[in-house]
Amino acid sequence: MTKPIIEVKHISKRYRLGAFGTTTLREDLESFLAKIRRKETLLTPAETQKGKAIWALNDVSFTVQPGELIGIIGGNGAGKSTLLKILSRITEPTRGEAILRGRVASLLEVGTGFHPDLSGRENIFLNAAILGMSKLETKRKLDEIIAFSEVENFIDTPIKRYSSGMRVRLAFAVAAFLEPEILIVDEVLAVGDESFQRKCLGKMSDVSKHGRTILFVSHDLAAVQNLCERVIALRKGQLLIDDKPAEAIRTYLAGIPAYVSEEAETVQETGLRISSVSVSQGPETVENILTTGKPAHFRLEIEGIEARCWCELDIYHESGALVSRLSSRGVELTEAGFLTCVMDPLLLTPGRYRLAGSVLVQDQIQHHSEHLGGFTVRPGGATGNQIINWRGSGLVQLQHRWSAEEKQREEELVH
Amino acid sequence: MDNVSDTPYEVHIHPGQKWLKLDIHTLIEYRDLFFILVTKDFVVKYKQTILGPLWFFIQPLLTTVVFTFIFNRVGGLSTEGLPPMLFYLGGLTLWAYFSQNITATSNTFGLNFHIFEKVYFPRLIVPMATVVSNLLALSVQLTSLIGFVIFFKCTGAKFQPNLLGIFLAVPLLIIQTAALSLGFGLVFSSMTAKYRDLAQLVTFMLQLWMYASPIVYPASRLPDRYRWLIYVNPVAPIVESFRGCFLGITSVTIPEIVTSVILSILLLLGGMMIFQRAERNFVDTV
Repeated sequence: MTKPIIEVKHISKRYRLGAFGTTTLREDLESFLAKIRRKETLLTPAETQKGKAIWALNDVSFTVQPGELIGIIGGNGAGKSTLLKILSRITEPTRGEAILRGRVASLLEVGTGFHPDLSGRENIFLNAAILGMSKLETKRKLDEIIAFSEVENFIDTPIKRYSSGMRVRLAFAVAAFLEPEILIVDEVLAVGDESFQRKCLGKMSDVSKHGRTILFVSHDLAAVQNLCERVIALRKGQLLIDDKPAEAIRTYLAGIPAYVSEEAETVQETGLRISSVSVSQGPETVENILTTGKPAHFRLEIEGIEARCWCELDIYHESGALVSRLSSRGVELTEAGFLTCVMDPLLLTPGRYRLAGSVLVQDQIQHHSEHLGGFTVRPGGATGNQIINWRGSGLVQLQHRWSAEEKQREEELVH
Repeated sequence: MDNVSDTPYEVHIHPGQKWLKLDIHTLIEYRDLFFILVTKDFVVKYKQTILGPLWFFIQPLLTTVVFTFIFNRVGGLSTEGLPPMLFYLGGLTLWAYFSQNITATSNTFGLNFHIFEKVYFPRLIVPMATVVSNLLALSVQLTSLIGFVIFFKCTGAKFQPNLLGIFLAVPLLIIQTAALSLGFGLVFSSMTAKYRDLAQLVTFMLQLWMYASPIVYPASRLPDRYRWLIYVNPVAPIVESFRGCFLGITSVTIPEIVTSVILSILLLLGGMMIFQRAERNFVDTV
């Protein structure tokens, strides 16, 4: 029986809040003097800070078998980065223990330690050494690394003359040829153009087929689902679920955003209710992951259906804002008990969303649920003539059209 | 390639590791990084400047000229009958190496935070590489010192270099300076990791320290009741013996040298322990 390659046992990590970490010498001296004099009146900085501790990780345990490719997901502040930092030995846990049976290389960032004055080639050696590769190993793989990076022509140019894209490609090329037993990858794939990203993801699954273990942390749920065999979701420092990707992602999305009122569900006696909602880009695509500008299908399953009822589907942004309430009033229902709402193109911008919904009969709510699931919208598609790249372009893109007119015409209109 | 799980390599991560644990094994494992960092320092220093290594030569020379003027011509401080220029250059050469090592290593955590928070490797590698790559500057300065010694000897100045000392003692003195400055650098960097304001203090302290060491004056001129200064300042016997090798005159005694060697070893070991203690959680405190 093989031993697990990673064993995480009850790991906890506490951070002090407030004046983050650094105390000045004066403050420490003061609190030290206060301790000596046993002055209880003085509230020393150290004491006030003790009260404001947060647990970034709280009793997290799991084991990983050799060769597994595990995705780690979780919102901001869920403890993903802290977990990675502990496993890559950048910081220590406050409690608990982890055992790593193999060499670890962690990519919390690509191109760590790159020096702008050094050439591409020199930086390959430097970066590889920082990541724990021996010089001999690097030399052996140098040609492959250079070829993978697609910057052959500039390999002897100082990298301060590189474009940022070239730098990233060079950096990832080094990382891709690391051969540790355990590879820890943070969201480094968020950079670089899409074709290069795909190349990197391909390389990663290649690597795992050679028996290496990979921990992959990402916000990109689609990438996690496609790539990983197992997904660990964290929330507020605790392990939420550890399961097959589809199950884990569904459970994870179901809890977004965190705040849901106490009375999440109200049911009347009629037995009429929305039993489930499935969200997809179309038949036979990944559930719960949509793309801006591409079609979106919301399929509601209704129990106890009757002809007079209709449904309302509320889409909430992760910030808690109601984006839109979609009503099926006027649509005739069939016995089948399914109701599908199609948006083509989907005008929501990238982000995470929650669904709530109600079934009504003659303006009377028969069933209302604040929690019918969630979904993620990825960037990529286009609406109109604009490509929606990332958050920050509002909650929705309205359907619109731009046009330019001659100035003369404007003047004519005025007069 | 396929039986990766059979490797005996095993890392245990748990809080509060022992104080006295020096992780030499990991240091050896990362030796390639050490050599690459040293070469990086060389290359970067050379690439960034117009005059290249010539700077290493100009700087102490100018200081020597200024010292000769102020302390010897104006202040009338004794140089024990030696050519003042040689006397100051002989004192400054090793001191420059010592103080540059401390300046460069005392803020290791602050300067390398962006790397340390992303990748693990034994942090000790960084200050060690700095101390070794500073040898480049020292070798340039040493060459110029030897050049001046030969020049003054040929023009008939009265002094007797100790050739045996130059070949046997000087390499050892350089190693001791490296160890001592690394020791101090490690202690300071562990302190600046927590109290960043101390970084300002280091430069200032080094200035005062220079005057407390027999660089602009010979140790023999210290009144007897201040002679203990040579004992408590481990750099003093080093500088004094170094100059003695090249110029033939020194008042340093064997007990003073022995004390200095012992202090250097203790400081280096102590510095390494404090440093390894500081490196484990410093990411959380910066």
